[in-house]
Amino acid sequence: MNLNAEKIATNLRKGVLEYCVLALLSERDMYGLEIANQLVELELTASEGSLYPLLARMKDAGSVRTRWEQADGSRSRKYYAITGNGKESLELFGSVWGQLSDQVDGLLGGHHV
Amino acid sequence: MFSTKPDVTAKRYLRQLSGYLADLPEAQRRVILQDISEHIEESIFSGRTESEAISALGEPKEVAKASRSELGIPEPRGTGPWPVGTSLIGAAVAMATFTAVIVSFFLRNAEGQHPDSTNTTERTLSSLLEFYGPGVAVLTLLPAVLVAALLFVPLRMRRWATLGCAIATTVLVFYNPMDAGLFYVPTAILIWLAATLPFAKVLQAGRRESVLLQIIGLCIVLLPVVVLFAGSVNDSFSVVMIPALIWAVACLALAIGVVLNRRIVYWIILIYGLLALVTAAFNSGILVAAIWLFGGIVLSFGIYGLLRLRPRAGITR
Repeated sequence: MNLNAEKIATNLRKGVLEYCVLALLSERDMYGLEIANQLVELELTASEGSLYPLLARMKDAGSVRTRWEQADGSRSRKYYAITGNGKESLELFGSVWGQLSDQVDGLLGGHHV
Repeated sequence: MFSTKPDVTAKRYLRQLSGYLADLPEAQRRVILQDISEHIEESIFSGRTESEAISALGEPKEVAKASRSELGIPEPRGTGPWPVGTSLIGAAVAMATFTAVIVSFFLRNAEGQHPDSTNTTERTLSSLLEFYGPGVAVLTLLPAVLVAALLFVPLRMRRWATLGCAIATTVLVFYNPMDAGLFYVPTAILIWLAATLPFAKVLQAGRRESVLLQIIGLCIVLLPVVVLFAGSVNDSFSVVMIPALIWAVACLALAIGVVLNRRIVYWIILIYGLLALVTAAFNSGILVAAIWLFGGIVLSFGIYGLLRLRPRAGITR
């Protein structure tokens, strides 16, 4: 990807990252590194560190909740789970995203076909 | 881009991040640092190397930026680099000028210094300016001019020039011309700070340095309490008992503030130091040198605290 393409992608990802996290968590509860790994694999984020401020804000907003779970031995992991609130906003995002992508696809298609 | 040098350890990354997040509310700062620290641990546990784990996190500056935007906290004022070095040199110039004025116009000549003088009263009550002539005013300003010249030294050479200046001022203190050497101690401390703090690898003091300097800070702010207590035992302060008591309580409050390590406390300490310096200059009794020295040390500690114990986010050299 060249530099300009990278820039466009970064800007677009910024707005949807929160909902991608919610979508991941709607499948199952995850701890931080799991979420980060998934997002990196899907090329949805480049910097894993920025995920944690986002998760902190989502927790404050009430779309996720956290709990501590014993991993092996002395370590414990902070697991994130989606809340009812989070499910609602994920659903809402889904319909907005569907509409938006149809509109944008239509517009782009009109130019190309 | 984030460089993956082998010396970039997790500890250092967290310390840098902590520095960049210095303006965040304590609770939120702690949560983010803890999350990141656990992430690094988990990454290493899952088989990545330490430097892989850290470079995947992204630059501490970027993480701090993301934190601020998520928490709705504005970027530090001016976003801009706030040049610590230049500010410290500016402070040292101001201090050196102030010192020159005090030394030439207010400082009384030490008793019996000039053997030719016949009149004791005249001899002890004349300022250095009256005693040595106008040349002394120019001479006392020399350190101020020297420090100000540092601002014109190119940045890459400034470190060594500042260090040289710090050493020169220290020599001046010990050489003690016209018995005024002691008065240049605050200037010397500020130049030493200017020669060291901006060139530290990490802005915020490490744990050991923090604890050590907080203990020294405690000794500094509590010194008047000890002196007052000794005075009250000797009954020599009985007339000023109430103000002295208030002062002692204020010192204790400052000591608690130093332990809590709050920015506002270092601002108060800085102003407290300035007040002591002004008091020494205009209300000088026999303790003039002691109060001046105390004021200079207190002021320097305040500045040190603001720059190193609890630095604002986004400051640069």
